Amino acid sequence: MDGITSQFNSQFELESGYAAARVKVRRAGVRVWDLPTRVFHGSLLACVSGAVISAQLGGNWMDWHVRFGAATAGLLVFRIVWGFVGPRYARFRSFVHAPRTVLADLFKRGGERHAGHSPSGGASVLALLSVLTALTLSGLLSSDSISTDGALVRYASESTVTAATSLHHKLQWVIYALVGLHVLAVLAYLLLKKIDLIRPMLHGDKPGLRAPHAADTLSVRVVGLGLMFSSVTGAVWLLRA
Amino acid sequence: MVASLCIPGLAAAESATEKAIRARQSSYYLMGQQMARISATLKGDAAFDKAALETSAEAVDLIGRLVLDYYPAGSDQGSTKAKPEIWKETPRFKQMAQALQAESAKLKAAVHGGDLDAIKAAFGATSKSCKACHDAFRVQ
Repeated sequence: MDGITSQFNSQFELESGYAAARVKVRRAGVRVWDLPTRVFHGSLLACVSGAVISAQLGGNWMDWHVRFGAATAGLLVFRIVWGFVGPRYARFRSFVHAPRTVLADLFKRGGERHAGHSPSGGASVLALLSVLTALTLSGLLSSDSISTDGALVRYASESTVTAATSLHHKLQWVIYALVGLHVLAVLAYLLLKKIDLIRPMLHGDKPGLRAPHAADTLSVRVVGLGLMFSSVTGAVWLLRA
Repeated sequence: MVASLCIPGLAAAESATEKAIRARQSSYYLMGQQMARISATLKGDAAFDKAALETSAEAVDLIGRLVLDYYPAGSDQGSTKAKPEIWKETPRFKQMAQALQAESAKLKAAVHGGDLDAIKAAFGATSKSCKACHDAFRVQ
C-alpha cells in the first residue's frame, strides 16, 4: 500500500473512528467502477454461467437456457449504452485502444497502474462483449432440433438456422477460452504483480492511485440500474421461447 | 449409358443410401413436430388436448423405433449430419437409441395418465436422450 492510502486511512481512523467506516471505505482509493457497472459484471457472470449449465443439462432446462441467454442479451444492450453514456472508466472511449497500444501494453514490463482498464484489459472486455453478442444473436436463430428454438427461428430459412446453430455451438469454445484468459489475467495480477483487481470490481475502489473518481452518485445508480433492469426484463419477455 | 444420361428420370434415380437418408431425416422432422406439439401444451401455448397429446407421444415412440432401420452402412456419406461414429461405435449408438425408446415409452405412459407434471418430467427426460445422441453422433 502506498503512502497516500495509508495516510488517508490513518487520518480517518484518528478523526472519525468506526462511525465513519463507510466513508473510510469510499476514501480507500479512487472510485473506478460505478455500482451499475459492478452489478452488470456480477449479473453477466451469473447469466452466462446459468446459460452454460442449463445447456449442458438439456431437457426441460433448455427453457432456462433461453431465459439466461435473453437476460444476457439485455445485459449486453445495457453495457453497450453504458459504454457511451456511463461514468468515465465504463466508457469505451476510455478503454478501447488501437491494436499497437494493446500489444505494447502486453509486452511491456513493469507495473504501470491504470485507474480503469489497462489497454490489454480493455481489449479483453471488448472481445468478451463481442463474442457474447455473437453468441446471443446466433442463439436467437438456433434450434436444438428437439423442442427448443430461438425466438427468430420461425422467421429464418432452414439453412440459416443450421449455420447459426453451428456457429452458436462453436462460439461456446471461444467464450470458454476468453473467460479462462480473463480469470488467469486477474490471478496473474494478484499473485505476480500483487495488484488486486477483484475487490475493486466488488466495492468499486482502487487504492493507491491519483486519478479522478468515476461518477457513482445516486442519480447515476438509479439511471444505470433502471436501464439495466428494463433491458433485461424486456429481453427476457420479448425473446421467450 | 448415353441414353440414361439423357433421361432425367434415370439420371436422378435415388440410390438406396439417399433413400435411407431421406427416410431418417423425414422421420426426425416428423418426430420434432410432435415434440413441438407436446412442448406447446406444456408451455401453455396450446390448449390441453389429451387425445392429441396421446397421438403425438405415440408417434414419437414409434418413430424412435422405426428410424433405426434407416442407418445402412455407408449412409454417413451424402447430405447428412450423421457422424461416421454411428457405424464405428454401433453398440453405443444402439444403447442410446434404446435409452430414447425407454424414455419415449415413459412419455407415452405419462400422457395416457394425463398428469401434466408427470408429462413434463417424461418430456424432459425424452429430450435429454435426444440431446445425448445429438451430442455424440450428430454434426452440430
